[in-house]
Amino acid sequence: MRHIILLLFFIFTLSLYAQRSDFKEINFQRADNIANQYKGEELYNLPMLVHNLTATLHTDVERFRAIYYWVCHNISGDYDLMYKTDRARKNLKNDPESLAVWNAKFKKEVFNRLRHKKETLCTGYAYLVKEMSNLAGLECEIINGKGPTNKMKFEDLDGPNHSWNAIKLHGKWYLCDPTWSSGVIDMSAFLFEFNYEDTYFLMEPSTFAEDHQPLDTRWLLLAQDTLVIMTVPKVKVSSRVTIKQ
Amino acid sequence: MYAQSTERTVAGVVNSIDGPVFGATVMLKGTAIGAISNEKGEFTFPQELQENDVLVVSYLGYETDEVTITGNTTFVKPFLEDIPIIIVGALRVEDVVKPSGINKN
Repeated sequence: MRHIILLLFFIFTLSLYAQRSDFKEINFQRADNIANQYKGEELYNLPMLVHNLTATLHTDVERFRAIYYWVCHNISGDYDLMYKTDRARKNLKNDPESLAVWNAKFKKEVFNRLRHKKETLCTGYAYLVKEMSNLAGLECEIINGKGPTNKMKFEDLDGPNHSWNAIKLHGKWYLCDPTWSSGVIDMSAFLFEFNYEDTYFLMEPSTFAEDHQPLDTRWLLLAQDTLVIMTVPKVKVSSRVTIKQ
Repeated sequence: MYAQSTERTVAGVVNSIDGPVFGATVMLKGTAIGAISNEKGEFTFPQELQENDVLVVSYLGYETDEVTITGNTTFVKPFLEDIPIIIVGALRVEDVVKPSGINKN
């Protein structure tokens, strides 16, 4: 009897988790096709790009899908930025003031590289997904934490090394990782290769937690029903964009 | 006296902590009508605006600003704040021998 109760408990809690299967009736092909149609677009007019990607889609999850799919197929990872970040964080880890100065300066380089060359590291991916989602009228947050790569474990990392996103769709928060969806660094040449990995799109939170440890543990989203996260986007543009005649 | 909603041409200049912003996008909220600021941060909106219209001003790497057109506004000065973002970086790295399934090692 105890086992049955336990089983029921698990089934119940699992169904509470926000995950991709919540949208199994939705075919993402339309959103993916639209993202493909705008492949190669520049980031110079972000509101227009977001408009083009989302205006003809009918649900928030499809609008988000078009943005996510576009980012993952058009923004490359940059080994040089990652290497510089890693080195600065290690060198300055006991000097928070210098680290803050470095961060403020390096931030400009990161955004410039993203804007002009469409190359970035995880912060840039997470930033772009948040910014484009906000422009589409969706609530989206950047989550910082530990994301071990290269055979590392959580305990091998001194501090946060990774950023990903939480997106609110139809009243529930979901997790995704555009950086790891986008592609991989080929370590023999230190070059990025697009290699889309769909599993990180709205991944089931307990699986996501295997290699993502947020600084704020509420963002594990393992207890969605008790989750009270107050986020007020500074700017919320209507998702129903219409072209005025 | 009735309040008149007079349409007027609106111009402006976009600034940030780093000075004038070249290439900022200025959109009329809820539409796809917009302008891009020049190298001095200046823009002239391509359509006449009226009271309560909202301009959404954005540039990658800065906080987005909104300006509401009031009274007799003909010139606006949006200011884009810096984004308090922490730069971290962990890209997926490929193994020489690729294991099956999800590979981020």
